Amino acid sequence: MKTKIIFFVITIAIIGIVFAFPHKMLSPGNLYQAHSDLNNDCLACHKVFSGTPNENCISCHKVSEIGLKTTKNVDSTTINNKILFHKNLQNQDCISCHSDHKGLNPKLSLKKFDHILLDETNRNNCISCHSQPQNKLHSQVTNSCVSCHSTASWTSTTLFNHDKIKATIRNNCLACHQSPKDNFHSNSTNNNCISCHSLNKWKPSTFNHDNAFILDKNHNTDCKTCHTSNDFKTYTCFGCHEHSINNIRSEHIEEGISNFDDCVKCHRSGNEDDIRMNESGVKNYINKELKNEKGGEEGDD
Amino acid sequence: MKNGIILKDVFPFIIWFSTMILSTIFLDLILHFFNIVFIGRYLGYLGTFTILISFVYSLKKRKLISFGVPKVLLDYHEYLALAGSIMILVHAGIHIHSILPWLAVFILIINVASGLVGKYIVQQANQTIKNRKALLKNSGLSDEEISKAVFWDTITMDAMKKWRTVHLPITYLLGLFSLIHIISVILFN
Repeated sequence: MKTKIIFFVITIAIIGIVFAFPHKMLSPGNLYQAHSDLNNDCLACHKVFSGTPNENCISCHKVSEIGLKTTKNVDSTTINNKILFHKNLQNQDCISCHSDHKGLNPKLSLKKFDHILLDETNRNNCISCHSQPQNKLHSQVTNSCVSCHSTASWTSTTLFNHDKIKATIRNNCLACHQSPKDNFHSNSTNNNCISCHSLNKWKPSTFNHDNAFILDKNHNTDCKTCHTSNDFKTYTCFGCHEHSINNIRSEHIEEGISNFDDCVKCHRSGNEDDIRMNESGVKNYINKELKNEKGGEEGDD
Repeated sequence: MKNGIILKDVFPFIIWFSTMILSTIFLDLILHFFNIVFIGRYLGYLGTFTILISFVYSLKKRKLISFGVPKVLLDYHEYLALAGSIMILVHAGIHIHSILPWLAVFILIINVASGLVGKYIVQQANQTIKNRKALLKNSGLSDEEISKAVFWDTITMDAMKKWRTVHLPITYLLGLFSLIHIISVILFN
């Protein structure tokens, strides 16, 4: 009997405390600053057994006026134009976004906005609420945001497709990408990326040095051994101890070749017999060389 | 002390209690990681329902129902109450602003501790003292010497038995706080 009385007293005491201090005992948190005058008036928003009906919100915040006027009838269009989208909501369920009871900062009481609340026309017309980013990439693409972005997040989950870039400027890679800061991708590439790279992938590239000169085991060396400047169109074969003009002069003069600057014109690889041109091509080249030499001598006279 | 109550019987209690806390943190992390925290709200309903089912043992013990084997129902009581408590703790998270839900969570944790005291410490400590007494008797010690040897164990045991007697009032308080919380949610949603 004594135990039952103790239980009864404890029960009455706890219920009494709840009734005496209902907000401290039950309220899930302070309302934000603008609603602070409602802090002790739960029934201003809540309806017993009916949750938080929209009518209680709309009685102060008229949907057609959100973003245009404050609840005190002050013009608020200069505050934030973005909130005008409220009139486009198909189902005006306030607490699906506004939770309140999260503290004094109004941003804390905002749940993540879900685009599904918009009607279909406005949902697909992104720029009716969002402005197009002012960067190089977005100034070159079409207005079809959904081809890259989803309404779930701005960060793209789809692979970017270069076809979205206007055709006239699609090959202007440096408008969006930076040229790699290595000595190979120097100014000499001249924004001509697609000569080696595709629009789908950076790697693999189609560049093949063998088209210019085959790098065999004796020529497996650093680029700047031959390409001494940043201009990869120029080169020299006399950058290593194996080759020097004195070594090759007599043999080439004997054949009628006096130009020692453009070795790969004839030599395709380190093998001296691997000549790029056929026999008649070599003859033509030598004749041309002789002609140039003769012209030069006559000019000197 | 090597084979004493604290090492042999309190340790499993700590393991179970830690399991409850760590499971709660783990589940909460999963809900946040997959952005499905809304499930926490429903875990409140499920946890309450699970704990209510576990009370079938209490009904049996007080002879209010005739079906069921007490030992089996006790096992269900222990595991369902622990599982329900984990769900309620995930439901509560750390996003509580008012006093009453904090009190409810606090009393829930105390209640689980109290239940584990019953499950592990009292049950196993009784057995441990019995075993030690039998061992000491076999080694030829007199009753007086045995009483001296197990003196601190006996003192600890008495203290723990008092813990068990507060399990029911704690459960009652938990029920009362939960009921007020549920009524306030129904009223104001």
